[in-house]
Amino acid sequence: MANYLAQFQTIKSTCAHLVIAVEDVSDLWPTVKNSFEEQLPFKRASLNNKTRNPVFVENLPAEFILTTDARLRSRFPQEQYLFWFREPYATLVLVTCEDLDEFKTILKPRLKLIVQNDEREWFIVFVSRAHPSNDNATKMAKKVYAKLEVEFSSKKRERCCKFDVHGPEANFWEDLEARIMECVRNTLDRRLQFYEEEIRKLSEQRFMPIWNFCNFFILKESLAFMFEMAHLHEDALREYDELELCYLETVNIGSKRREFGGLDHGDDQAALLLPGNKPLTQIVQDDSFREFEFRQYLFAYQSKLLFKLNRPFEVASRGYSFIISFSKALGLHESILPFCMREVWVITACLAVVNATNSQYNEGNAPPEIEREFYRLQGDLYSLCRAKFLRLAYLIGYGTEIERSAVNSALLSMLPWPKPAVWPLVPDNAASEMILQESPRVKPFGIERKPLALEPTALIREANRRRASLSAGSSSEMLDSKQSFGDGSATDVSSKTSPSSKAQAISMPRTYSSAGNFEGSIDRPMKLAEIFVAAEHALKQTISNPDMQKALSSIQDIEQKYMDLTKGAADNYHRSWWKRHGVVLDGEIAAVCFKRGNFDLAAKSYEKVCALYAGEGWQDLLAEVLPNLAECQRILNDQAGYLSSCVRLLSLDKGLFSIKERQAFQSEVVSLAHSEMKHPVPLDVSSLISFSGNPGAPLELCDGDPGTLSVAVWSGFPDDITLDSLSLTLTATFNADEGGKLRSSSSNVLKPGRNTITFPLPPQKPGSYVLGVLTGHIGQLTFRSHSFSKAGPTDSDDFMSYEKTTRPILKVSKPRPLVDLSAAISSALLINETQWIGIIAQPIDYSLKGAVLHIDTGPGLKIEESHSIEMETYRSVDHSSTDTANSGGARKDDNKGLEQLSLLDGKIEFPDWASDMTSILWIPIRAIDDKLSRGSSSGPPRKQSIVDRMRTIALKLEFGISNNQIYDKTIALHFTDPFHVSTRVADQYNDGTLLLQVTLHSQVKATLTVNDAWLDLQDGFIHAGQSDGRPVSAFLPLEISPNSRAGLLFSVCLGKGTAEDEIKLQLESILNIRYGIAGVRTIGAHPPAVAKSNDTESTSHDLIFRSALILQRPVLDPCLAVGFLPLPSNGLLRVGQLVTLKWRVERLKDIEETKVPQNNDEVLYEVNANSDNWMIAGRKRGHVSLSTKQGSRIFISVLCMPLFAGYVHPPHLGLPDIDEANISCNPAGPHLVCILPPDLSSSFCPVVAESNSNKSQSHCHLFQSFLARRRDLLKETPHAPLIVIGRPSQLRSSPNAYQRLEDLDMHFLEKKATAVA
Amino acid sequence: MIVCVAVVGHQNNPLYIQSFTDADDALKLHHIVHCSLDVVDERVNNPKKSGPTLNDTFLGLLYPTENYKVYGYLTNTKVKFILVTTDLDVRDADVRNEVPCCIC
Repeated sequence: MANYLAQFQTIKSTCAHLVIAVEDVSDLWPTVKNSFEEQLPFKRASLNNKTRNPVFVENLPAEFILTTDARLRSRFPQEQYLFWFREPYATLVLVTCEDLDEFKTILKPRLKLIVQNDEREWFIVFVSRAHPSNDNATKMAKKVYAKLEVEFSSKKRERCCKFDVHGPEANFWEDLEARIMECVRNTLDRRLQFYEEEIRKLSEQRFMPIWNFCNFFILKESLAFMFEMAHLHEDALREYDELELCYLETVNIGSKRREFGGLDHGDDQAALLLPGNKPLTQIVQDDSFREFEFRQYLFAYQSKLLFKLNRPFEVASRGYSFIISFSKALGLHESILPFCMREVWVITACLAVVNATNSQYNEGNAPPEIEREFYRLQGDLYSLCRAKFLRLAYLIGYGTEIERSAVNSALLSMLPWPKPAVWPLVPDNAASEMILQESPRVKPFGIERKPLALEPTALIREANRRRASLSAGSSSEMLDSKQSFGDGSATDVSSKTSPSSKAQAISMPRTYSSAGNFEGSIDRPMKLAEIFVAAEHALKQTISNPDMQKALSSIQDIEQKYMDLTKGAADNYHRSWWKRHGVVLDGEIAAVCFKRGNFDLAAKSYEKVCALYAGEGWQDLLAEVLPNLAECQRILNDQAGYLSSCVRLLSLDKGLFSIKERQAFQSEVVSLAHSEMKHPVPLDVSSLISFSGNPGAPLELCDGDPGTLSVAVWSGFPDDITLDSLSLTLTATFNADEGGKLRSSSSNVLKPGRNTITFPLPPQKPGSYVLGVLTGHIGQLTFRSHSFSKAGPTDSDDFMSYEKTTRPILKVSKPRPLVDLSAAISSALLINETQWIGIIAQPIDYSLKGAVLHIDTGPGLKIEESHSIEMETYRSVDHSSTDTANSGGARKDDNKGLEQLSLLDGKIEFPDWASDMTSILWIPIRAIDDKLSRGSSSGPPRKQSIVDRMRTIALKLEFGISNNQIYDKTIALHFTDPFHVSTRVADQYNDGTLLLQVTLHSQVKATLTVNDAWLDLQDGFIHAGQSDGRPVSAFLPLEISPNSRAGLLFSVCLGKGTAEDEIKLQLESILNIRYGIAGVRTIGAHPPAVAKSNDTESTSHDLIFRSALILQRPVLDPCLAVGFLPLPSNGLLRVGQLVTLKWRVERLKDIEETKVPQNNDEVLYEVNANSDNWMIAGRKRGHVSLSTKQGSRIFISVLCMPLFAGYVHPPHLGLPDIDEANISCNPAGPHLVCILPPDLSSSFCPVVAESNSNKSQSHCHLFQSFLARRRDLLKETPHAPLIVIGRPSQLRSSPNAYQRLEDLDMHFLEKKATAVA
Repeated sequence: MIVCVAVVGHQNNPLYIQSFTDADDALKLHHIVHCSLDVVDERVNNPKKSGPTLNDTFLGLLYPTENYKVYGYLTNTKVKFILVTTDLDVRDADVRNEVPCCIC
């Protein structure tokens, strides 16, 4: 079957469409051909794919071919099966007939004959030529067609359709297309089944010796081709995929050594996208194909189908994998392939795939992910191509031109050298070739780096090793040669050589020391230059593509090609996810731009690379690129950029550059800073100079205080650097706008490493502050740093050190009390005496160093300047008591004793010892009050008005670091007299002597001792007896505890009028008290401060207290005393029982005529009693004689009878003529007396008892007579009066009235009065 | 042969890089590791592409080139372990076991 390969190829090339055979029975085709072919391609076809699923195909092309055509004739049956795909897929039988007989006799047998071949899918088109106007003909045609349908169509399948030449029916073409498609589908299914069966059979034999891949291939590709013709590209692609798999599985099996291929001219150019590059017959190898060509062939078809499926992305994706794997295959066969065939093939393959996919790719059609992936693949292809191209350029001696960057090193140093069987020799005619090389670029700043390797191993060894014979001795010759220390040996040897010799070595490639070296001796090892020249010649022979040859012909062309490839890769990577790849390649472009003098572009690209590396902290890589950027900027005179780059170089990890190089960077910065800068620009040195506050708690300042802030500044400069100025901003955490700027006073020299800089800190607003920005000047250069170090210098690992610190460095507290001034004394002080006031100065976590106290006394208060001011440590009462109890004098050292201070212009300066501890300041003052204190008469001491004796003292304390803090306070002080005096008359004698009780209320918290007291009486009073105004009692001295009372008694008489001649009348009595005070100044009143000269003796100095008292003459002065004498001894009063009440009237003193209007010695009296309760017998009112002599007395008796039982007021004796004020009730009578009910009486008068209102008058007359009689009878014998109990009360009037005439010796009681008892 | 092992921080900053080559060519390995972060980023940002390895910390072969292979291992904290090997015939499963060993 392999013999059919050529035929197969031919058929394939000629057969592009599905074929529809036309069996033209009635010679109608020429008539209908045009209208039929107009319907092509078929609009919509429904076909079954390999898995028998319907697939809709649009615009399916096809071709109508007459069965009589040569193309369909003369085929052998075997051929027909083998190349079945080219056989007609449907047979269209064109017939016409106008007569039924003719149909029956001629047409029908013939058609039967045609359609009896089962393998054909046929259908009949009946062409009606009848004109529509000709009814008969039309009818006949219909009849014949009906017959035809009956004969050939079945229920299952319609096989007929009718075509009217003069006007086809509306749906004819659709019907026709449906019929044809039905046929095509059926045919496809049948053939697919056939091919599958055949392929299955062959597959089963795959591992048998008779296996022939070519046969399998023909079948498989036939199937694939059939699918392709039917526009079932997916299925076709799958067939090719399976074919590739099968090939790769079987190709290397078996012991047969097959040719690989690739030796033909032009094979170096990849044909992976050229399906018809070579005829298959050329690449057939026994029963299979040569790998080199066949794999490309398969890929070409796959990619063709993928392009048809509009999947350029997949072409790129598969292409990249294919190139990699194919490159490996090429590597395996490298020894038989031309020199560097592999590299050249990869280059051309990559470019082919890139170009093809790019032209097919419509941007924006694919989803974004796919699009990015597509560009990534493009970038990969470019990158791969670029690596291989660099390798070739290196091999032919342009290694020095290749940038020895990390990316190139990574690409090339891991890429093995070509491994030809024999390394090419230098052709004889190449001896004259000389290529002058430029000396390699010197790195900026004199940076010396070992160049990165671009070679996997030393080329010179590799090349010589691959020569046919290499004598043992020649290796030493090779190493002895200085020129052999070229690039190729850089990785091994150059580490031992000095940089200068290395530079020389690098500059030497392709530069022949003498032409005589080219002897072409196979025994002599080649030198590097020879290797290059030999490689170039060999490569020229390998490369068939003139463009490629040109690209490697000169340094310019190489550079151009290199740029194209690098840009292609970079651009595509930039459009993919792989930004890093793109940026890195930008750096390679920059290197070329730099070399070409296009510094602007170079700088831009380098900046991108540096930003990438710096952003992610890849310092090693950054250190490689940054010097180049700096150099560009220097050349471009971009001072800002250059400075910034220098700073960045300095801030890189110290291990990346030698100290010498770092010093070079610094000197660049310094020299530029001190040069004339046209536009001074701020320079960010955050990465180089970092700063931090001192560790630990932040500096705390009070509001308004200045201070000094110590900041640690780390310098990354290798040497000392002089800063002309240095400033630091503080940022408030509460408001970013707030904050201050601190300036370091003097110029600073920053040493490498840590420096401590002290900034004066002016007063700040309250709040927390963090460090803001460090700014400064070096010459004309303004720099700023935002970088905060945490604890040490900026660590290279910690590349995120730009983050803002949140640790406050300074806390300015809100205004708070920093000091408190208060009065130490808790109670009132003595007025008008020199007293110590204690002012406690208590610093509240704040130093009072250098504080000055201004004292301003208010009105009525003055400072006793004769005394010095004392100051001592203050200890609260509790504290001091415990202290002294526990440790005795152990704490004395801490406590400062009294210190004398002097007042200057109302100011006192605090001593240093008082700066941190609470101290008390004793100031001698005197409150002046001219008013004399006044005593009150009796009762508790009235509350003193607070304001009366209050004085104020205004204090102003200036303190703080620069006396910037001011504390004002006005302290109120209370002053008082030692005593409050109240008086009352304790007793008064009848002789007018008054006993005056003076109560002294102590007003102070101090023990007062009354040593003496005397009373200067006012007019109208005199001292009683012989006293000289001293108190009666002789208990002096009298000690009065705090807040207690004491009394003094004075005997005073009403004066009889003192000397009239004294002009000045004394209206007030003055109480003089000579007293002593024993108090403590910390508590309250205390002995007055005395001048220092008087010394301590005078503490017992007596003080005089004077208080005004007003004595009033007594208002009441009775001249008569009326006394109620006691009742009879039994004391029992009964109702109806007579009782004598007695009063004593005594003349107390002589009545003054003026006051008492009484001329004689008679006194009018009157007894008043409630007549309901008492019946008074005898006179109620009358005069009694009373001598006017003092002490005379009389008794007045009145007989009374209680009428009412119970407690009743007794009768009262009044003296109507005498004013009540002159009457003293002494002894006073009882207020109420108890009256018992009467005893029961034996006499009973029924008459009375039965009296009624009608008879009462006559009875009463009788009754009175009766009573008169009884009186007479009993006249001599003592007896109790008769009690008459009557009712109603009217009865009473008659006896009462009668009794006025004569005594009836009876007592009338109302009945209801008896009920009480 | 493993030529380089690197630990890269979650901000793609190098934390540790150790190369195992004799030659003084650490820089190229820095480059390879750095560039392979592109692939890690791509995988992390496009979980769809990662497919079944979505929840797997082993990223597998990141960067197949003709000459070396780069494998990645991503921790939950987005710290990456990157391994560069010149052994082209190594299997993913072997590396999967080896990467944690390298970490330890």
